[in-house]
Amino acid sequence: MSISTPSPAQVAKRKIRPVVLGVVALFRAFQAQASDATDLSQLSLEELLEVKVESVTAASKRSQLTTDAPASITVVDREQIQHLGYQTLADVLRGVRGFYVSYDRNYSYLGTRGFSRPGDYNSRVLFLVNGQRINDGLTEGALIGNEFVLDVDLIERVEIVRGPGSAMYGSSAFFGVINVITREPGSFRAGEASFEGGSPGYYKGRISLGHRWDNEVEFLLSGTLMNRDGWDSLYYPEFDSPPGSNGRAIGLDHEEAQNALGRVAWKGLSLEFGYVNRFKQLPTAPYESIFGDPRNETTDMQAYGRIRLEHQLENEIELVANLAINQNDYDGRYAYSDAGPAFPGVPVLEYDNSRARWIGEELLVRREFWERVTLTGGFEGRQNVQQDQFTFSKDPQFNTLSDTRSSSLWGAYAQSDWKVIEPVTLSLGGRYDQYSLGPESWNPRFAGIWQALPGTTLKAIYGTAFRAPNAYETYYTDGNNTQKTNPDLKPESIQTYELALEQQLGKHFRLSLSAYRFQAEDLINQIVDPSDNLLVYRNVDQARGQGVEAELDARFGNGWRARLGYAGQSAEDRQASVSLSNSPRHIVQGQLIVPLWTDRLTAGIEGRYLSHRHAGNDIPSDPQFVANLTLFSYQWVSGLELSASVYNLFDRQYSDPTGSELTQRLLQQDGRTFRIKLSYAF
Amino acid sequence: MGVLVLWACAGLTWTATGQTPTKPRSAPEPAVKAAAILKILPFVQWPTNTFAASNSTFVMIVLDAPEVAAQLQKVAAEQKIGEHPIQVRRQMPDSWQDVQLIYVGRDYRRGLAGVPEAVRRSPILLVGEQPGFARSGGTINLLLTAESSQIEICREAASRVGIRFSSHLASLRAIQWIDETKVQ
Repeated sequence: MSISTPSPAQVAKRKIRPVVLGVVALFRAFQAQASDATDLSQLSLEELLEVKVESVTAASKRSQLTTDAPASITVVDREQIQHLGYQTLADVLRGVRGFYVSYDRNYSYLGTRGFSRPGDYNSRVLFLVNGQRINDGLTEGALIGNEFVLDVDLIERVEIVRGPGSAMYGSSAFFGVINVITREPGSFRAGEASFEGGSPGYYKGRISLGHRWDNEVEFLLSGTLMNRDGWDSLYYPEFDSPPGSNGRAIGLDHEEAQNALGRVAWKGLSLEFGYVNRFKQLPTAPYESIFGDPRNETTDMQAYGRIRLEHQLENEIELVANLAINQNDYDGRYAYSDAGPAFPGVPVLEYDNSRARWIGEELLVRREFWERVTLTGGFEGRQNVQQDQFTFSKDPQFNTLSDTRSSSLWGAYAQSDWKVIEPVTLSLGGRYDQYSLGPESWNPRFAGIWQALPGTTLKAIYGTAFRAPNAYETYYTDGNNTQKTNPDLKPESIQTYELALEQQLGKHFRLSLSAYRFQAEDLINQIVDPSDNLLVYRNVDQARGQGVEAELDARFGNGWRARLGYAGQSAEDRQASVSLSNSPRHIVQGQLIVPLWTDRLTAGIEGRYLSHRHAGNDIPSDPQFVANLTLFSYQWVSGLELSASVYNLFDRQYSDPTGSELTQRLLQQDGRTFRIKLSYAF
Repeated sequence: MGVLVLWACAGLTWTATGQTPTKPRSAPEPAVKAAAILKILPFVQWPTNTFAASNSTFVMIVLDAPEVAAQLQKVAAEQKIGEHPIQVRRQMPDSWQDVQLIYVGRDYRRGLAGVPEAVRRSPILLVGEQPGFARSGGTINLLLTAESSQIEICREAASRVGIRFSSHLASLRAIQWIDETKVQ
């Protein structure tokens, strides 16, 4: 018997064959799907009216078709959240084309268009809940992990509006606006209870009550408790030397959160509140605190409330009045072996607290003229009545920071959507903002939207945006121990050009393509001042970026859904002509929802690829590929939903770049975890 | 590993092929509107002599709503209303004799006022998509937004031109019937 070695051609053929067969199988499945002609025609009229119309409200502060909006839009709906097993808003955004999230075992940091700066608590994207700003009054950022103000189970859809939005929203709408829409009270039978458990030591319980009466009064009340024991042991090689604990943080990954949401509404009048309190232990020893000390922890609380009145006058003028209050409390504790120059050699537990509260009011007026022009105008004011930061120790007793201040801002905006000729709409808008802490800012947005053919929309968009320096960047210091103030910060600014194509392909497919270019000035970045080795925020960077984004959406009548997204981007420091840190060149995301047994059992598969990122000092992370699998079933018993998810299905090791507050430049992320969830509607 | 993933996807997709249709939770607005129109039409009772023959063409005019027109045209190639094949046009015809439905898009500059008075006295369904349409002489108004969807029907506007709706339609909660007293 002779053993022959296969030729390279034969090896290549053997490798390619299963791929070709897989592609053929997929193609045949597509063909079979494309031949069905079911879709909406199978629904009764009443069922048809339960189908949500795909529209967006965040782009122009009014409901409009995504194809009519002056921006590139993605909408993630509740069906995708359920079927893909998303646990947090960060999970939702990880699946959106061009977006990526880094996690440092405390907070989740959003990146988009190749831009995610260290020390930025998501202040370059504006976050809304039902149209209400929830970015805090101190960092101007928003938290999107388990510390997000809403339980993800209460989300009806998430609108992602790319590009500058300061022309409507003012500061922070730098790279985009994300509007989270909650479920309608009328979508509940009477109530819903859910329980989920998983790894590592994770459980969550929720109870929600909601109802809508015939007289149009509706209410929703929901509460959630979440606990995550975390990993027993996390290894950090940077601390694998005495006097550390051999690089192992033992039992320091605990997290717990409580959420509440309430809403009462009658016709155009609504009252809403949201609340979250999240506690997290810190295994990473940030800000040079003692590694392995169980006292390193943070607690973040956010509460908001708002009253909103929408009224349509007889002359077709639409009025919206909004009054809101938002509170963010942060309590951090960090253990140090040395209290600093005043108490050299004395160990200390440092308290790092902040209290931020703002009150905001907005009046919006809208009217349609000559059935061709929709004019929207408004005034917005915000009083940061509390922007307080404290750093102190109780034993020994000392204060290193006690900064109490307040500030205010106001802005006026207008937008005109003008249908010039039948298939062409021009959207012209702008906003003027005046801050008590800084200079004024004026930001326009121009968009031309051409419905070239039925199913084909072309958009050309130009806009600018700004981000005012926040009180944290400007005034935070821990007594010049590790970080110092910089009252001379200026606002950041960005201008963006974008071309977008949205193309319906037959009944089942939709293609979105966009190409953009941005140029950002005076970017605020946390750096180490070489003169004293202290962290400080400075207007040091100018960045430019360009990229293309593509997304193919497929939806079939039998519940089969798929989305494939790609973003190719290049973001670099203009002065040094080097790539920005934490900026992947390529992102590929894919989601597939497949009915396995009618619509009662589905499989949701998600894959995500990020090319390597560097952590600011040329240390690159490996490219990451993460896949998740969720089986979702409902209505086996009336009102019962059951899902089982495996995250990081192939247990791939990957790392995220971190900010300069951590010694670790790359932080390893979770391996394979699972979750089982049971939900019952009563 | 990539091959395994591909195979898993292909297998699951294959498995799903041909399963019982599910109910889509969201869809483009024009598709929902087109589907709603086609769901309502079987419940419309036309005056005698509306159609020249039992298989004559059902003509729809869609004014300034190209996306809705496109959706209706797709369906028209596959469906009939009773025995009547469907024809969708996008411009006002010279003769209204054979027209059964006019869809007035929200972008139609002249609105309902742009529809000739003679047409409004003919057995033609006037379908619109903006607030107040069914209260100002229109027959059916499709009010679909991301937040809520409803269909308004003004029975009086229909009956003035001899059009009636079957009792089954009247029993649906999805329909809001506009009373004559509310017509301004």
